[in-house]
Amino acid sequence: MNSKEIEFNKRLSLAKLHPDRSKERIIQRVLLQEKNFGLDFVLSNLSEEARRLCSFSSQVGMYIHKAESFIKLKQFKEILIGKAFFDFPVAKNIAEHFVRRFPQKKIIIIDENSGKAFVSEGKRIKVHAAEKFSDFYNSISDSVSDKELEKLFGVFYDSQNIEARRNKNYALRMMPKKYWKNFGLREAQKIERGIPKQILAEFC
Amino acid sequence: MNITEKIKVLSSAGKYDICASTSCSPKKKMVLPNDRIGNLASGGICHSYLPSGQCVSLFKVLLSNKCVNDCFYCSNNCTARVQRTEFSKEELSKTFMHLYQANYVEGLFLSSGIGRDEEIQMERMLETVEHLRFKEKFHGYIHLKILPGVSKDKIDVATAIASRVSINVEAPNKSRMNELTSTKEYKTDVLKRMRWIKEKAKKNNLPSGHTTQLVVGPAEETDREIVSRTDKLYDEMDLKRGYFSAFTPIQGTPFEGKQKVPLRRENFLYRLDFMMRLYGIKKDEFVFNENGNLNLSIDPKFAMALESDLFPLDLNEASFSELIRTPGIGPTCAKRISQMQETGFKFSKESELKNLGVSLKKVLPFIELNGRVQKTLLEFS
Repeated sequence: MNSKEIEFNKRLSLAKLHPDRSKERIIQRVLLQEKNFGLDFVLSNLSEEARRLCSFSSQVGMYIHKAESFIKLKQFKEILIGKAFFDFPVAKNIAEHFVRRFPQKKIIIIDENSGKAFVSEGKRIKVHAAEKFSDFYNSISDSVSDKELEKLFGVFYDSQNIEARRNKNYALRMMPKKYWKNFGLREAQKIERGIPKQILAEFC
Repeated sequence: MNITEKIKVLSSAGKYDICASTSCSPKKKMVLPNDRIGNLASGGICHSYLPSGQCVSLFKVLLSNKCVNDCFYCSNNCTARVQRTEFSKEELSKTFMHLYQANYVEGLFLSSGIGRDEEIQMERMLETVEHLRFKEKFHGYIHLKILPGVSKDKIDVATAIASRVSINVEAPNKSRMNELTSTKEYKTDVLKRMRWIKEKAKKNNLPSGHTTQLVVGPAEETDREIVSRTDKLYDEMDLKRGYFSAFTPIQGTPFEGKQKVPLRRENFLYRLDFMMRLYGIKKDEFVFNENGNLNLSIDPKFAMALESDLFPLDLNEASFSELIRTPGIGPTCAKRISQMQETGFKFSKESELKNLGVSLKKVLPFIELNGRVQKTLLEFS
């Protein structure tokens, strides 16, 4: 399989995880376009369908990337357990990421949205009901060592801030929208976008 | 001093090194042991963001903030009245491993003050990394700072055990460096060490290469000087990446009265840096004003396009290097357009460009589409 085929297959597999109802129809059309016009046509997003497929796959891809970053794991002996409300069905991908990272640990990822828990057994991931593991997760969350670690990271986080570099607009763009209300959106200064009028006037 | 207080002092002292990248390709054909902890991720992962918008992905700390150097802009310089402390290798390793396993951080960024002697301090830093690698069996990302003036042997060991190493050049040339410090020798302490890093990085197959950082502004250096130095480092030293840090005056340092440099200047230098590294554009094409600085009210790529006689460009005939110089077209779009040209496809509609990911607002004044050229820029403002 060449690199273009790998990229196309990756797009298809990620797009299939997107909840949009029209995804199956779009995937079928893109597959037809790929057959008729070739891989370059669909990978360049020339058609509306190819563009939407690319959009679905990048949304899911970014979501996995962010979920891998933001989920926090609790440790109990050789177990690492994390819990989150996943908007897309990607908990298995997250569990696989941590299995690669910590091959000696047992990884448990609880998806509150689907009510499932993804548990590693060696390199394999098995699905269980979430209730079995939620109480266990809560008991670790209340432990002294976990609270201390949170506090320690809080100290580190606070020490990293450089007040002179504060940039509300950038932070707003990088932050999930649901947190914007805590961030004084209205106070945020507008970023000067585009080209100043006087320069345009001179050029024209 | 307990561990929390040490973190407060030593991570605060290390925060002005702004490198936060963790992107790293694992060494080829490397078989990872099963009893390891951690791995290298290819994409940059950010675990949290600061109010400045900066990504927090690395546990960024100094091993010690004791220093004999007098860098006038630095909060740890020998004259600064700050609390001095240091980590033991066990303290640092244990704390870092807890944070890593809880997924708070993606890797370690370890730097240090010089202490009394750079050689001894570098040895302590290497011991800490070795402790992590061999005792804790950590196989994830470690960015290790090389202290100016250390021996070649230390650099050899550092490039063999770290994922990325770096030495900060801080200034674009010797005379600017002399305005920043009286204790560092630009050519021997920094550039010579960087040459050794290049040699040893190649020998030891350093996975994420080596980087550097320049402080922008405190020595009145121009953007042209900074860009020229960076370009030279890419050419001669196989530098993976250059970082720019807009100068911020710090209380208690000899430079506390100097003016803060606007972040936009740093941002524009990054744009030029990306154009040099990823677009293959030469430094001579950039547009500077008579003082050798960038015009901060106009995007550098747009300024270049206004000076160029390349435009209007026929997208169906343009080469990759011409496409990449067009405002609104980045490397991904240029690649897609080139791919379509090879298949014989002719672009005739704006919607086709939009689907490709091209920024229409920026690109239309500079291209010929269907035999038509947008004559003015005003309606796009």
